[in-house]
Amino acid sequence: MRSKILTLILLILLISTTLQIYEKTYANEIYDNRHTIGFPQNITYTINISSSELSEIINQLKNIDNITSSCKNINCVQNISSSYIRSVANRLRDEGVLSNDAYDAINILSNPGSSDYKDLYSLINDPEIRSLLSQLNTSDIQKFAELANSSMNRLMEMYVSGRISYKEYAAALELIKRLALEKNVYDIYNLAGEREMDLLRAIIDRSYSDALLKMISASKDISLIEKGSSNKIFVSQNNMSGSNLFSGFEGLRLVQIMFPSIPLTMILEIAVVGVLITLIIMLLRLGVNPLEKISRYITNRGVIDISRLSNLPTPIKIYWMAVSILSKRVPRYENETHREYLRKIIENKDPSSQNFSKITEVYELTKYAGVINKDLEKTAEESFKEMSRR
Amino acid sequence: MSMLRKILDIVSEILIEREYEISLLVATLLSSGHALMEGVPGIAKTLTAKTIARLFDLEFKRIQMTPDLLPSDILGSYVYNQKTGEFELRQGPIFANIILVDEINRASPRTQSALLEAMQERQVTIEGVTLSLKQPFMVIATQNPIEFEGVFPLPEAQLDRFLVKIETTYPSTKGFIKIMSRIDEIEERSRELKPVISREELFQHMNNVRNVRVDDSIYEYVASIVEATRSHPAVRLGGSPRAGISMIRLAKSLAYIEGRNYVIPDDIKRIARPVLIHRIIVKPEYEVEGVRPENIIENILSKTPVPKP
Repeated sequence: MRSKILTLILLILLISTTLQIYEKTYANEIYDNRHTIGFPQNITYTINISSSELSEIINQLKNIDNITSSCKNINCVQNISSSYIRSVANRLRDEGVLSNDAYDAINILSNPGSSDYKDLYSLINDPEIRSLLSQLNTSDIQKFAELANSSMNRLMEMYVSGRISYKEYAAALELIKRLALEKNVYDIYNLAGEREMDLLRAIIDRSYSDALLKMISASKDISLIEKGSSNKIFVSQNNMSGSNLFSGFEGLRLVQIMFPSIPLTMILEIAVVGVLITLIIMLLRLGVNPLEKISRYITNRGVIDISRLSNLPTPIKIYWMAVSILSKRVPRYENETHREYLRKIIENKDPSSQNFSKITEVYELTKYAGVINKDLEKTAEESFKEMSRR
Repeated sequence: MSMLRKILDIVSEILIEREYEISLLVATLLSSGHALMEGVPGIAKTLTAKTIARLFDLEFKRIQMTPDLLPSDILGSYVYNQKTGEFELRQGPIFANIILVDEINRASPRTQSALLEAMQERQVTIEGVTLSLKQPFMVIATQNPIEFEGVFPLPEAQLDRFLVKIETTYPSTKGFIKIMSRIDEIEERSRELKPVISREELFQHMNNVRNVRVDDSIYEYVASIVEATRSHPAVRLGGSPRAGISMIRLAKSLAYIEGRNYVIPDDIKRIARPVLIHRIIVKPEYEVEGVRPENIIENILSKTPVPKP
């Protein structure tokens, strides 16, 4: 049984140490293998907003998306919630989620009355667009529709290819829309409004993506091995800034794998514990039970309180006094009879065994046979005196 | 010389390594009790019982139990005498001092019941006539613990009638060799064995046993042991008051045959197992885990404080 326990302890130590070595050696490999291709891993963002603020922004963007999803034309948005969109845009720009270019574009789209022709035109730097707009301004009504259509297509191409900014695209569309209204070409007016709406939606979508990307970037790496961890093997390190992105969102926590793992830095402590266990097992094998002996010494329950003996016959008093002395060397158990205890004293080759044998004999006669006489008392007293001298 | 020493000196050449069983059987006889001996076949259960009967110059009868044995086969019955033209009582083997009931668990429950009733009442009623059994009267029943087919295990209530249950074990290798090498001599000595204690002396000893002193603390010790068997978590049925009484009676006899006229806690410890082992029923859930009544008794003895001071 004891050898089985020893084997088990050694096995546990071996497994835990091996796992720790494995963890140390292959941590990076595990980390790399676990990375999903295309999923953000090493993107670095400057994060200077709190998770709660970012969460609020995302919620606001969701609101705007809900509003605009029912609108086909920019006029619809302008009538309903242009001020709300501008306030969100202000916040997005302040928090670094929205670029200045996109912010200006939103301002143009959501508040067309704030800028006149001249202002809008001044926002456009591209000479081609400027030329197209000049042609539209000077064209007659019959040619305007055709030219406006081709101009808007060309604007779309330039916008998609990245040649013009949001701001320029928005300004150009707004100018075309105003010209169409002046010339009463409502088809073009509506089409320009729809293109403006598409642009606004695209800016919102992009902002939403940026906000989400920031959130993911805050969680940084997808999987890392937390050093020195015994129970959390794979955890995200999203708490580097000291806060979570969302309340209740703990980052990308993966499955916790539970197994015993002892850090190598604790090898000295393990060795000490191992030596102690080995010593205890050796002592047990030698028939010494130190724990039992210690507990018996502490409790000393097999020995009677001498003060309780005052009214008892002398041999009984002497017996328990002798036991209280001998129990310091040979502990007496509560369930031991006087004869069993005497046998133990003799087996231990205690120097007092001969005298204690007489004391026990007299005790037995007095206690169980009910014999009380002076001779017995004298024998007990003499034996006790002799025992005390030794 | 103590009574036990005297007996052991005589039988030690016949019953090898059976001192424990002899001392318990003699103590049971002095306590007016009955003994149940359990052990595998071939370990001198019958020889032990026979030897005890011869030692005390007592009438000995042996009944081999079988499933078709009837109560009348044990107790006896009235048979018609053609000469006198009257019904006369033909006494059964129960009318003896020491009855060896071999393989008691082979008899039908009806026969077992009749026997056990006689053991308790020490009288039998045959066709309305009540007859007292001989004194002293002792039943030594044997049973084989390994057979389960064709046997009728004794009910717990009837087991309680036995003062002790003596578990007979195999002798040691040394003892076994001694038996084999001296079997002829053993058989001869057994045949020639003469009583060492007369019937009158036995009655005197039985009377003396009653006067053996038991300190109050011993009664308390026995009570705490018996009560502990009832409150033990692994026990379904613990010791009854009869168990406590049996412990005291047997302890007194044991002290007496060892030459003492007072009981000490060591006597109680020695007789606790044979007196309690057949009176304790372990809960099934503990039984399947290997807990046996003897384990419980040892556990209780190791926890119960002996009398102090």
